[in-house]
Amino acid sequence: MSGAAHLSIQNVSRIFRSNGTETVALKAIDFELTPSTIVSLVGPSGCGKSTLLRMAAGFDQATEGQILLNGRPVSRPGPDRGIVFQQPQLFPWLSVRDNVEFGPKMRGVARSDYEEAARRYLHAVGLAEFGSHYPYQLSGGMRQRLQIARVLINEPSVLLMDEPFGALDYQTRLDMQQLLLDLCARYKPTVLFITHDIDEAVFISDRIHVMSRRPGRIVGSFDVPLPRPRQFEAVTAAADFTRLKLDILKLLKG
Amino acid sequence: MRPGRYRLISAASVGLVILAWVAASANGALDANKFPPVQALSAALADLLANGYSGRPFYQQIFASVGRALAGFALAVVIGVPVGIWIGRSRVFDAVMSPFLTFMRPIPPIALVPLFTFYFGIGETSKVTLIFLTAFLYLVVNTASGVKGVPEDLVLAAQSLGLNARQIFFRVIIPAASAQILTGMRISMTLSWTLVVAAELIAAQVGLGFMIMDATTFYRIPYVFIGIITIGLIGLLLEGLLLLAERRLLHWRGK
Repeated sequence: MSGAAHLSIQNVSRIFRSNGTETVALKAIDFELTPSTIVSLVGPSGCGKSTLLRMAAGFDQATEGQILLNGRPVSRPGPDRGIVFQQPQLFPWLSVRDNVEFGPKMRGVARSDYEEAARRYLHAVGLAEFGSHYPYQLSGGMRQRLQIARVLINEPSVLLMDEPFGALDYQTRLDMQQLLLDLCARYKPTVLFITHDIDEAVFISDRIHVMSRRPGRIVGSFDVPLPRPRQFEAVTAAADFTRLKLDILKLLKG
Repeated sequence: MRPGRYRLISAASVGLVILAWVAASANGALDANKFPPVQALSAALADLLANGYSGRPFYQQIFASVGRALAGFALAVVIGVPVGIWIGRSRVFDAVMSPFLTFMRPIPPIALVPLFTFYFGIGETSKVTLIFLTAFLYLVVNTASGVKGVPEDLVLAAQSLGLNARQIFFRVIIPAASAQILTGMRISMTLSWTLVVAAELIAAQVGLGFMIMDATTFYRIPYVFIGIITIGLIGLLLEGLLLLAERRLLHWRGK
């Protein structure tokens, strides 16, 4: 990657106002993502974790506080922050290869550059053979791989992932978690990962923040003391894994 | 069921009905003056092909109707699609247009024929305007709903890939809405065709609608039947062509 970024969430609150009522979605969220770390947000549905991610992407603005990317306030969306949605937002009229090349092509990158890069990233996510397929021909896991390749080709300094594997079956989800770890070891982006799957959070993360129900606050933060590279079978058998998982669960049950 | 078997049953079903028709004509169950036998139709068709109808060749009757339908439809596409896109993108323009569109929709277009004939005469203008208006209303509503239906997250994904507003409009919103726009076009084409015939029934001097009205008046029932069958076949052809175009252009939707 073109240098991983430092993402700083500084005392962020988000209040939605409609018809005279105020809903506090997020309250005083404050944490740092140091470059090339994987940080997960775990919390119940409706705790505002997606809202925070959307603000980091530049789709929404904080009511209070600010989000800084390498010291600069985030004000709008951009290819430096790659967003991966739970429902892959692919362009169904474009082939797999065209989906990956679409971003750089539209931004005016030289064809020779993006064609080469598309080959590389399609290979990295295991879709090298499927360049001429169309999204409707892909399985759920493959669509998610494609969405990741389409983001990686922009060489983002931050990956923002909104429950990216939440809609996949268990086996595919495990494969995708391993793929993500491999890709992170290789390209070293800073990752903000949202999930409600505690196993997933512990398996992939360096640090985990646990959030409460609305208004969403951080109620606990944990470092994950597991060495890398991680293998699912080995990691999930470790005593540290189980202990951390139970601590988080206790906090969530609150 | 295999498609081959399905078609075989369909063909047999049609054959059986024609056979029943021939038999009923032969044993006198059908009054030949009201419901002509199959042979009378082929004689009428031969006469139409050789001598035309009411001083004009048969193909001119067909082309008159098809020409009116296509002219009104094409005009509706050229104006209706951009207007629909605009409504889909702008809440203000939506609010401006919505009362008129909502009010016009339940009015059967045929109800406008007398007024349009009064305004524009019995020539081409009244019919083309009527078809245009009907197809336009349908297309605008379909196009607007297609544009409004583009998923918010797809647009956000495009923004975060670095596309500018212009690129998002032409390279994301338009293609994403194209499926519904094309479906709207196919249905409004079918509407245009049914409507042109209905309009010609009321006031026209040439066209398939005119021909079946005139032939009924002069008690030339086989000619009426040929007219109706021709209308049906052309309707199928027009819809088939648009369905083919739709499949080609929207191949990415899969089966």
